[in-house]
This record gives sequence, C-alpha cells and structure tokens, in this order.
Amino acid sequence: MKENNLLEISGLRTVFAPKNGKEAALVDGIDLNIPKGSTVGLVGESGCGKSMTASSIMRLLNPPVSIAEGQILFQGIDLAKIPEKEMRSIRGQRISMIFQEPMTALNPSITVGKQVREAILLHERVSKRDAKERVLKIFHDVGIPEPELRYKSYPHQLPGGLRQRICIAMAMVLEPEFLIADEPTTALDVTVEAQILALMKELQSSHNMSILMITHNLGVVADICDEVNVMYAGQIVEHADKKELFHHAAHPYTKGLMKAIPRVRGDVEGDLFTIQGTVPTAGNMPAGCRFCERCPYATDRCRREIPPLTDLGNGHQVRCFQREVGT
Amino acid sequence: MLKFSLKRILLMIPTIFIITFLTFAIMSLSAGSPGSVALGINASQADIDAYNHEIGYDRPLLVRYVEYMKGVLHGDFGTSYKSSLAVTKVLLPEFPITVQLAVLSVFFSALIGIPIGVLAAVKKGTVWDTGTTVVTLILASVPGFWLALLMMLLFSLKLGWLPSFGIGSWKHYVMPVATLALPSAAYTARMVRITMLEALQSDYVRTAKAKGAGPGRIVFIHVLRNALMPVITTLGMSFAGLLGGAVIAEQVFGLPGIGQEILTAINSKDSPVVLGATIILSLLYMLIMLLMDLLNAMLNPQLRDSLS
Amino acid sequence: MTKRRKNRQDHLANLAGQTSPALEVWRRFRKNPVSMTALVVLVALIVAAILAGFVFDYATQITGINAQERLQFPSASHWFGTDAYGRDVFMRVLYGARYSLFIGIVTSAVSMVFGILIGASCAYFGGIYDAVVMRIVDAVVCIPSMLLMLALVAVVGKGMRGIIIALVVTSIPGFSRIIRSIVQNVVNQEYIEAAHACGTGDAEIIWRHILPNCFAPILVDVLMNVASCIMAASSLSYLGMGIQVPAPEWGAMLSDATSMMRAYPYLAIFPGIAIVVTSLSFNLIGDGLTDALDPKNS
Repeated sequence: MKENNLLEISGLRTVFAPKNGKEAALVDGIDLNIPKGSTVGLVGESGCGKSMTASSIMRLLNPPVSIAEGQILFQGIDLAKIPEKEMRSIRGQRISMIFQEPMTALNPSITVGKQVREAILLHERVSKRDAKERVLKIFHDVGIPEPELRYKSYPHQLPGGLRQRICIAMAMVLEPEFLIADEPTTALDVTVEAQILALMKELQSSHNMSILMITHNLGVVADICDEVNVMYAGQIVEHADKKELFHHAAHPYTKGLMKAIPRVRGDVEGDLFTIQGTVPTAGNMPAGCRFCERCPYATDRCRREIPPLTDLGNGHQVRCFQREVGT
Repeated sequence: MLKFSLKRILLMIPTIFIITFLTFAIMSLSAGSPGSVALGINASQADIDAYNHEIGYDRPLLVRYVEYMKGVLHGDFGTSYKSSLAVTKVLLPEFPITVQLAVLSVFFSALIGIPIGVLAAVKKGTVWDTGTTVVTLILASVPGFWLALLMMLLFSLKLGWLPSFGIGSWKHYVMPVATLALPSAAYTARMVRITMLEALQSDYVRTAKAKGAGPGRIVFIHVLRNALMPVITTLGMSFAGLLGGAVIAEQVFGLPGIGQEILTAINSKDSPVVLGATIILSLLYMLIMLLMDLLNAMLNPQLRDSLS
Repeated sequence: MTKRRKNRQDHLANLAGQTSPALEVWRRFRKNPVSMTALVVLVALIVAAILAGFVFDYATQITGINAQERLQFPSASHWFGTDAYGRDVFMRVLYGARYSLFIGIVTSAVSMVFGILIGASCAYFGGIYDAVVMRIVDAVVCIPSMLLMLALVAVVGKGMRGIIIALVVTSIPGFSRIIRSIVQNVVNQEYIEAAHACGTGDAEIIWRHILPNCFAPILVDVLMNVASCIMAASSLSYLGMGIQVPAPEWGAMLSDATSMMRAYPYLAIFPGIAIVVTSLSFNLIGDGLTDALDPKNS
C-alpha cells in the first residue's frame, strides 16, 4: 500500500448472482486509489456501477449482490474480508457516506437531532447530553440555522438543502477519515447545490479528509475534485487528474461526456451533442471494448479484444486502443 | 395534537348522523310494528293501528328519526317491543361480554400477528416465511364458525381440556377469543410482513447501516415503528369484523352477549333492540377508529402535521 | 370481510390502466402452479354443481328421508357418511355447491354493477357529488358488516332473498371505494385527457376508455369478494338467518351437525372443508391474477 494512499481498491469485482440464474458483474475488476486529503471523482452515466462501487466499499450490498473478488485496502485493513462486526465499527466512524436523496435518506419518524446523535452513541461511550452538545456544534458547523430548534425537527419539516446538511452533519460528526458522497447534490436546486459543494470543500480542508465524489455531473467534478475516474459498464475507462482530463481527455466516452455538457459560452449553434445508444447491461457485455457499440472510432480489434488500461504518463491512464484518434 | 384530535372528532359527527339515519330507515322498513309485536298475532288490525297511533309510530319517518335521536342524545335507545324494557336495559348486561371478546381478540391478534409478520419479513424466503404465507392464506378462507366447531371438537369433545359452553372461568373465553383472534392474527401477520419488507428496503435503513447500526437496532429502532403505523389502522378496522364475529362466537359457544340478543330480537321482530345494538356497536367501532387514528398521529409526525 | 380487500386496494389501483395484454397475463398466470390448481378445482366445482342439479333428485336423494341408512360413518358406499335422516352427505355437499356458488357469484356481480355506477361516477365527476357520496359510503363501512347483514335479514326476511340483499348492500361500499380509486388512477392518465381534448363525450369516455382499462383490477376484487360472500352466506345460514334446513346449504348443514358432533364428528367436517376449498380457490385465483397482472413480474 502506497504511503500517501488512504484507500486502495484492486481488482474489485461485485457480482449479482441469483440462486438459479446467470451471474452478472456489476463492478468488473476495478482499481481505484484515494490519496489522503484529496477528492477523487467517480464519473459515469447511471447504471455504470458507480454506486455499486461505493456500496462495495461500505459493504452495504444486499444479497444476491456480493463482492466476488478483489481487495479494498483501507489503512492496511482489507474491507472486503473483515467480519461484519468489525465493518460496523468502521462505518459511520472512519468511513461515512451521504446519499443522493435527502428526502428519503432520513427516518421520517425520528427527529433529525436524534438521528445524528445516534451516530455518536453507536460508536462512543458518551452521555446523551454530551452527544447532543456535539450534534448542536456540528449543526452549527455545517451551517444549519437555529440548531436547537432544528434538533427537534422531523425530516419532512425541513427543505431539501437543509436535509442534505443534516445528512452531512450525520456523516461528519465523528470526523471520519474518508467520506463517500453518492450524487449528494443531484436532487437539489442549482443554487443549493453550489452551497452544499462549498460546504463539502470547506469541511474537507478543515478536517483533512478524503472524499470519493460519485456523480454524473462533470460540472461538480470541475468544482470539487482533484482526480477523476471515468467509469463505463463496470470498468474504469480513464483516470487522470482533473486538469489533465479536462484538457486532454483520451477516451472517446470521456470526450463524449464533455461534449454533452451544455455550454453558455463558445459555439451555441448546432444541437447539443449526445452519445448514441445506452450502457450495455451486465450479462450482455460485448466481447471486446464495452464502449465499442457506441464508439464512432471502433475497429474490428475493438470488437474482439478488451483494451487494457494503458499509461499515458503523468498518471493519466486510458482503456482504449485508439487513444491518439480524434481531438 | 389537540387541533388534530378536535378536527378528527368533528369529522365524526356527520358520519354518526348518516349511520343512525340509515340504520333507522332500514329498520323502519321491517315487517314488525310495535303494535303487532306487543299485542301478538291474534290482535286485530284496528287494535294494532290504535296502539301504533298511541305511541306515535304512524308519524313520518323523519319526525320519528328526530325524536329517536333526541332520545339517543340522552342515552335512551327506545323500548323493546317484546319486553317493554328500555333497550339500554336489555343490552347493558350483555354489552361487557361482547366488548371483552372483541378487545381481547384485537389484543391477541396483535400479540400473535405482529411478531410472526416481523419474523417472516426478516427471514424472507426461508421456511418461516413460506410457512407464514401458507397458514395465513388458508386461515383467510376458513369461516369463523367452522374454526370454532373444529376447536370445540378437538379441545372440548376429544381432549376435554376446555368447556364448550357458557361463561365462568377464563377457560370459557379461550376458544371464543381464539375463534376471533386467529384469522385476524393471520391477516395482521400478512400485513406486517408486507409493511416490514417495504420499510426494510427503504433508504433510511441504508443510512442507518452506513452509520454503523447493527441488524437488531435497525429492525427495532428504525423499521418497526414505521412499519407498524399502517398496521395500527388495520387493527382498528379489524375491530369491526371482530364485533360481527363476536355474534358468531357467542352463538357457537353459548355466551350471553349482544350477538345472542340480536339474534333473539331478529327472530321476534323486536326491531328497537336490533336498531339499538347496531347503533351502539357502530359507535363503539367509530370510537376505536378514533383512538387508533390518535395513536397513529402520536407515532407519525408527518400525519400529525398534515391535519393540524 | 372487507379488510382483506383494503391492503390490495392501493396495489390494484396502481395497476389500473397499465396492465399487460390479456394473453400475456394468461401466460404468466398459467406458469403459477398454485393458482392453476385453484382454477382447475374451481372449474370442477362449478361443473359438479351444475351437473348435481340434473343427476340428483332433490326431493328424494337430497332432502328425502331414508330411515334405514341414517347416521352411517363414511364408507365406500357413502363417501362422506349419511346424516340423521339417512341422506348421503357427499351428494348433499356437492348439491350445496349450487347455493354457495350461486350466492357468491350473483351477489358479487350485482354489487359490482352498483359499485361501478357509484365508484366510477364519483371518480369521474368529483367535486361535491363525490364528497357527499363517499361520506355516505364511509359511514356505511363504519357499521360492522355482520351487524348490517343481520339487520337487513331482519327487515327482508330469512332465506335466499334476504341473504342476497344483505350481501349486496354490505359489498357495495367496498366495491365503490376501490372502483373509485381504480378509475381515478385511469382518469388521471394522459390518454383520457387526449380523449377530452378530442371532444369525446363523458359517457363515451367512461364506457370506451376508462372501464376497459379498469377491468382487470376490478375482476380481481370481484374474485376476492366472491370468497368472502361465500363465507358470510354460510355464516348467516349457520346462525339460522339464511338458507333454512333441509336445504343442503353448507352452513345450514353444519348448524344441523353441531348437536350431534360428539358422536358423529364427520357431519361437522365435510361441509366445512367444502367452504374452505371453495373460498380458498377464489382467493388463490385472485392472488395469482394480481401477480400476473403486474407488469413487473414479466
């Protein structure tokens, strides 16, 4: 394990294996490193395995989905192998997670204060009163107005942005080393999104934690990430740091994603670019490159062989035979 | 909460009038008139008419209804044609037995049904789950009176463990309550299983897991409360079925409850008793539903906010 | 008897207007061994009930008295034994299917028609009409159905007519409610709006566009209602408020058997099994149909 990495995933395969059915890989052999104190983006269309990767790290998979192979090394501990009980002590304390839908992520019949307090009481032996004090402090830190009043609120009484702040407070209250954010702003208004991203950036630098930011929105990546992994059909197809990726995207899929962002400046004429077709479903993967059916540059070789992840220098890796083609 | 309760109680008032009017109107269509029942079959039509006129039975329906409701507000449900006693006097001694039966049955159907439903949901896909489904499906198709007969056959006649008739010790209540509670428990278990499965898949459970909560805590602190809220309403509604079922259980096991009284009254065309019993039990059912709604509002903050 | 229906209500209503084509539903239904068995049993019962009317002579074989054969335990010549009057219980049970199936199917069909009239008009017109009618329907539901049935029997009189009227009146509120929510779901779908925009009249929209799309969920509800009507009818007869002895109605037969149960338990067993098998078949077919209608199960 490299010194400056907080988390190293190697060869992770998460499969859907029903009792009497065909096994299908949802995450198919990915390698992913999270350096200490940085924010790593995991980008792709819905259904490409981003959330499954996050759930695999947290071991929140429900049967018949399970981790079949691979290592998830977190500070020397292999999260893929440790017993459930040990994993439980890591969840929420050393690794936290926030979810896409703040509306449903909170229990509707328990006050938000108690739900955040539960995170403390689950991991530390402190009195309820002390725990409450800490909740009020974190409420203040994440910018929740009138913490005392909000402590007693139920989720449905709060607007979406505030609910997501509650979720962030819940995830941050034990000062974890690693935060997984699964599309944390997708369900929110654009203005609220900007506030939440700003809050996450601020918390990250003040607590020196690492973040895995899962998103389909390259705007969010540009705003918050240091490095980016592009995922397609269960595999990582490109990895680079943010600047490199935005300026020298090498994979046709990444390029497609970039072209698909509506821009206000630049050429406003012509239709918005779209990538033809849809992500192939697990179990119906093409023999060769998984993107070949949608790729404008695909050759016969692409349809036969799976391209390896090749290094382009500067830590830029891409899974494509045609990495020189097209600019 | 107070606002919620008041609103809920106010909503009951029109319902009470509709129920009483409908029941009153239906019963007034009945063939028996106070004169014909009180004077017997040998009385002449003129005597019967005179009797009816004297007590005001020949006035229009609406007038009689208003009169009747005035009495009801003072706790007077009319007079039995047959015994000339006040209906409340006739029903009062029977009332506790029927209510006891129904209340005990709701209690036991919750006590048996909820844990079984929870177990079936938590152990989804195992023998426990399939077993619950099969038993509940079959129980849903067994008429209460036959279940009662089977139990009587086994526990009284074959094994001699339980008395088959009348009231006395707690043993007399075992089979009548089981007759009512078992099908209701089966239904409750089925309901709980569905709501539990739904709740177990919800996002907030995932959040709780991500916090580091264990399976026991997730079921008991996070899921159970949300899953049981719809069940409370169902239990309340099953009370109506249990009051009706009590008529059958009383008949099979010879318990002197309101059900027995209604059957006797129907046979003797004593409609004030039938009317009074129906209205009193309907009001009781409405009261139970009110309590269940209040309980639900206490548990469910969203519901509480939506009505106040 | 309406409670079983209530939890299904939301689910059924959601299915309204988006179920799969009939052939597809039948293909899925056929794959379910439990509901197929139930269907076969039910068809056999219906055939037996119809034939029983032709094969057996009501006056001699079903209700006649045969003193030499009385109270015989089940044997090869009398499969279900004989009763106190020497009648063959097997024949009586078979013949009894005529009562139960007739009552169950007729009351469900009649109350369905009323339910469609009330429920569909409420859903379609909405407003004060809907509010008032539903208020009344909700109030009727507050009267425990067994009590309402008994009150109605008291007015109409015991026997077939009383049972049918009692069951129809108590079934209508449940039907009206569920049909209202089913229709509401369809009304809110876009193709109805499109029909409005094309200038189609109200009656034609209800008849040609809304009802066909509600058919399947309503059918499921009718099946469930047949089961509960069969159970309620036999309960009424058991209480002496329905079909009267010597008619071989299952509830009435059980009522007769109660006093002799200690010595002749078989008399109290077979008619009960017949009730359970019949209502279970309807319930299982309804369950299977619900699953088959759900497009998610393809």
